[in-house]
Amino acid sequence: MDKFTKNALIACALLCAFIITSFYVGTALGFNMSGGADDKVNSLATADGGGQAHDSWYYVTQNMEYIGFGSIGMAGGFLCGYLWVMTFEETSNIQGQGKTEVTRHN
Amino acid sequence: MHIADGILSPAWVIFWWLVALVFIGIGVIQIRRKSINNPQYLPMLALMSAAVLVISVWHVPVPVTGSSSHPCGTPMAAIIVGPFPVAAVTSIVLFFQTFVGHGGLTTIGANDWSMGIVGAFSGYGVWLGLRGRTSIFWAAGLAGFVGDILTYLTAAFELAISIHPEAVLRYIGIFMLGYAPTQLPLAIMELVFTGLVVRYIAEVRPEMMKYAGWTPPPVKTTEATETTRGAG
Repeated sequence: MDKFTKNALIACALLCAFIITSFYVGTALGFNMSGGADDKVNSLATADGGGQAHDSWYYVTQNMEYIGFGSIGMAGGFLCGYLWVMTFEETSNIQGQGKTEVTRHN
Repeated sequence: MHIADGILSPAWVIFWWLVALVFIGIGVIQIRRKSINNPQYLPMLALMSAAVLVISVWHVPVPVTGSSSHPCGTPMAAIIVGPFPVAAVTSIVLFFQTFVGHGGLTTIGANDWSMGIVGAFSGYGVWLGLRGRTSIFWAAGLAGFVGDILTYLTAAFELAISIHPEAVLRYIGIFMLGYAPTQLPLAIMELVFTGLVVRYIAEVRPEMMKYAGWTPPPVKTTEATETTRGAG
């Protein structure tokens, strides 16, 4: 694994930890973590004469969040895993061959 | 800036869809052209889309206001892969975000206009104007800051012009009062985040910056400096 990939993975792990921690802290302190300022303004707009805000997917299924999170997570994971090498292979070092190679498309 | 279904009037829903579709169309053409010329462009765009998806749904608590909001990520993506492709992929990002209660299906056009188009283009514009005049960190960081703030200003405009076309400016102010106190600290966070990420990529992987038509100047190393001194 080259240095850039290692640093990128470390950054991703730190970001995940920060996202989870900030979510739990925000939830514990009652900071409206699910909607936030967007929900606040949507409610304000509805109260100020706009149409009633609603979630279209709610009419399809009430479990859309679980399905959505699951499918996005799976698609994102497979996509990143599959495309990672292709994205960064141009100058990445191919290890285990006793030498450094530079691979290019075209 | 995730405007929910049902708030905007049907006429404005259609209008923002039509405007967004023009940018999405140009974006798709650019994506096809760039991916033919460079096979690595598509996976890079996919990674940037994933980054925008996560960043723009990532609610950060802001203790001062007792609420939470999210950064945009589109200015950073525009700097790396170009603004038109970002306008196109943001519409897909916004579609996925409707699954988790962010935004709405009918308002993808309006939300794409604020985050994917105004956010990306304003950020990219600031980047174009400042790069070369200041450090990469500040050029990219200010692009992130301006893109973030203008995204929310545009969302406030979309709400105001749909609900109260007779007093647009007044209602932009009212809706911005809802967004700004929470969003301002996050815009500063986006400044730091965008500046650090773009600077790191430009220094460590400068070839990744070529997708938006820019090649970072070579980093001066001590060795190179010594060689120059020796030659002089």
